[in-house]
Amino acid sequence: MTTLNTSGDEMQTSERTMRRPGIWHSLKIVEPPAAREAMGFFTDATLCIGCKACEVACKQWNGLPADGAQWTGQSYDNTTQLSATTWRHVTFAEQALPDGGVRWLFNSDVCKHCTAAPCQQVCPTGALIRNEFDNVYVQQDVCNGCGYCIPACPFGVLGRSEADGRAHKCTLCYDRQKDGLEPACAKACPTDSILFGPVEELRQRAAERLGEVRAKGQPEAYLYGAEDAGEYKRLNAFFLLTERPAAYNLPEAPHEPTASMKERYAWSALAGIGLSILSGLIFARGARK
Amino acid sequence: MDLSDLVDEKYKRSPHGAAHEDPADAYRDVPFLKQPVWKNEIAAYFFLGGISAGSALLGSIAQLAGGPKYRKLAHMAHYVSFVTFLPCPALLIDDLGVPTKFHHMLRIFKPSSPMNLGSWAFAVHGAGATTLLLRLLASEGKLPPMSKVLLVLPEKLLAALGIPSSLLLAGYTGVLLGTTSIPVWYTSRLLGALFTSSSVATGAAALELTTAFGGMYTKATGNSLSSIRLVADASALMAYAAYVRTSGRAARPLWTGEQRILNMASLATLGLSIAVGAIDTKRDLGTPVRILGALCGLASGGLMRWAIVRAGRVSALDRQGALDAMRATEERPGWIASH
Repeated sequence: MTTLNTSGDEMQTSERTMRRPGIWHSLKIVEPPAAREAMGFFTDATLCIGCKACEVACKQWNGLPADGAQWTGQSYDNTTQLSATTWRHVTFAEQALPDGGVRWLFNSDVCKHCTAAPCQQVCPTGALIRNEFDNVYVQQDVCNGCGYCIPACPFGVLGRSEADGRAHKCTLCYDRQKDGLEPACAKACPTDSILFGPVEELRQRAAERLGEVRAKGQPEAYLYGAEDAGEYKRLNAFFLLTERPAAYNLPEAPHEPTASMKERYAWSALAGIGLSILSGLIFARGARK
Repeated sequence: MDLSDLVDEKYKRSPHGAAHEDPADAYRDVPFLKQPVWKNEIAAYFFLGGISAGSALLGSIAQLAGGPKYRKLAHMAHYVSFVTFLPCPALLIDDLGVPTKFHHMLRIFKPSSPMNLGSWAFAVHGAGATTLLLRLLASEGKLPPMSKVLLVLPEKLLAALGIPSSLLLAGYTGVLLGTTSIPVWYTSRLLGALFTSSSVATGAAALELTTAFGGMYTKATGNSLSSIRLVADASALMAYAAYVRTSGRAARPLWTGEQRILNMASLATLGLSIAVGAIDTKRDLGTPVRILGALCGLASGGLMRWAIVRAGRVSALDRQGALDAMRATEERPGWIASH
């Protein structure tokens, strides 16, 4: 991938911001960086060996605290879910087979970086944005911890940190991408179960890989999130899975919460305007009496 | 110490230890949705903000449609609207993870976010309620003489201008909850209509109480407010029934645990309020009974908001319920194995 340079312009900006910016400076509207090629993840569950190197690399690079040593008894999964402090999570679904054996289903879960992201759409402050790499990113200096993104996400990705009160999630290593590096999890993955790259390329590779996996005896394999699915648009971080989504603790067909928003306002307006007119009539009748 | 003591009870259910015959059961105790962080402050805001919006709306309508007979009522409505609005900013700010950044709510205008649009409605409504209050106090000579400049503002114009933001404030909260992935909030489209109806009903109830205790209870205002409360309560009851019905199985969290008690109490008080209002139209029940009806109406609105906010927290933890709510259908094929 291309290497990004730290241009002279950016150096000047950082020098300028060394001084405490005044109110006019903070009100100035800054042009966002020009859009670049959309980048994303293709996570291939058939290649995941459950080593959790991605979880560790993510925590280490992003300086995320430990979640406390809890022994869940849930297979070898003591992380259980994504959270404000866990941005990669390897699911371990342990299946008891009829012959007495055990099968393990691993998948490294992550923020899906939805191309139409409910969290980004409902964020009232504009803290959640699509950055120049078409990734969904929380601007920490803008987030005021209102918590709206948390129930908006159909995958339960976002959490509010107890430490700083803000919403946090996978940044798709925005900082590393700016410097031309791949995200820490993809870098650490020993089996290339996690691939990082331009989304269009990844989708092609995923389609090829799907054919390969199916031909090699896993006809039930499918891509989770590579294509639009009705109202929910495709994901920039998609997966190759072999079991039903629930086995990886994923929903089959999430709703797009904002898709029905106008209808909700319409019903609300109907009730409000209807009651206003009736109230007006009641007052007018009372005035005549 | 036996190491198995450290293992959570819920993981000991499978005869195969951590393994399951159906791999979809592996995470059956781990909800995939996150619990909303909103708690009692938000339920309290929904209630008080609803009264503030409802009473402002009724005050404005009384001023525009009712004429001089309702002038005192309209003034009382604007007092009530201001006073019930007062604690709201504190409730909302206290709920934030970073309270000092509360003003970030208004750093952009983003109608795709009901919370952003609601914040603007909230700000406009608050500014309107304050202006109307100051104008009222000035007209009554309760402010320094120079405040008479406020009288330049035509009262009816201010009232009319306030209607859109009051309407939005009354119902956006229901739209906000609906625009999430929480099944008990998302599934029905009618939460906004329910909250709007309840806002008008509780606004009318609050006005009945304040006019009664403020010694300005006349037959005309009493009758009108009682009728409006009856109509709005009936609308709330219909919206509630329709909300539960259109939610289908997703409505289950409304009828479990504490929400069950809250909901039953809300419906019972709503029923009482409607009964009092309905009988009152046939024959005069007298002020004390009407006050009782108004208290019931007010309580019902509060209990309903509380129950629904709580139900959302429960709904998020109901993994099976959430999986069912997001099952693939023909128009929503989702991502499932194609075989």
